[in-house]
Amino acid sequence: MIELKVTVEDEKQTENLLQELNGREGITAKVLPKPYGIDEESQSPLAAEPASPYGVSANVDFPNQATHFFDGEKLYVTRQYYEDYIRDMAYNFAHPEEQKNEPLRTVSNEELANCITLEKLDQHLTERIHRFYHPNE
Amino acid sequence: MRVVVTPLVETRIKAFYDAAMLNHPLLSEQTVMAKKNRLISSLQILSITQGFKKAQFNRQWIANGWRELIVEDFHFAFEVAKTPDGEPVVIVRDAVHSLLYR
Repeated sequence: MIELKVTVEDEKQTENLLQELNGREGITAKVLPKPYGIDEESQSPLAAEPASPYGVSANVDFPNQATHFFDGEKLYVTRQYYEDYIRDMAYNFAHPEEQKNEPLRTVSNEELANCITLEKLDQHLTERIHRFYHPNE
Repeated sequence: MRVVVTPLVETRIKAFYDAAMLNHPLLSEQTVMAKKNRLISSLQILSITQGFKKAQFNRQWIANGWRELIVEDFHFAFEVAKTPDGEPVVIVRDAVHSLLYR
């Protein structure tokens, strides 16, 4: 179990981050209390948790699968990688401006026509699984 | 944002399910369907965010600048691109089970 705390100031970003994190197995995310009060000396806002002036906290309980990407010879993906992945994802949510300048490649209509939607993928997989368990239908 | 997957991704996922259902006969249809539903739901998340890090292990994924989504024991490589009309679209380019990830 690790705890993530990230700065999210925008309400929409907070909502998106919570939706993303809470949609993942083993993760519970919540909004931390907003800062309260004013420090009389510095006149700066007091954080609810002075050592952690962040907007969102997420507790991550990793599934077992995330720990054993080792085939006896090579270590492919470690638990640390998974932790870093979640942490970086949370950071990216909190700093969307750092990704805005990335130019988007233009794909052709032909390339897109080869792709399928998630609805189609869902339908194909559902049919395949159903056929496996009900071969005589 | 629209999310689509390449034929390669569909092939890889189907191969995973075929192997899982054949090799693990005790898996119930309900369990397999539930896993499938979780995968699809997680891919739908890509329609609302680009907040995913660049892939770091797979050489082809790195070379192409693709980002990575980890769902349970699956890794997906995706690209945010735009159509000729300028509409942003998420294309899931590759998928691999964690135990085969290299």
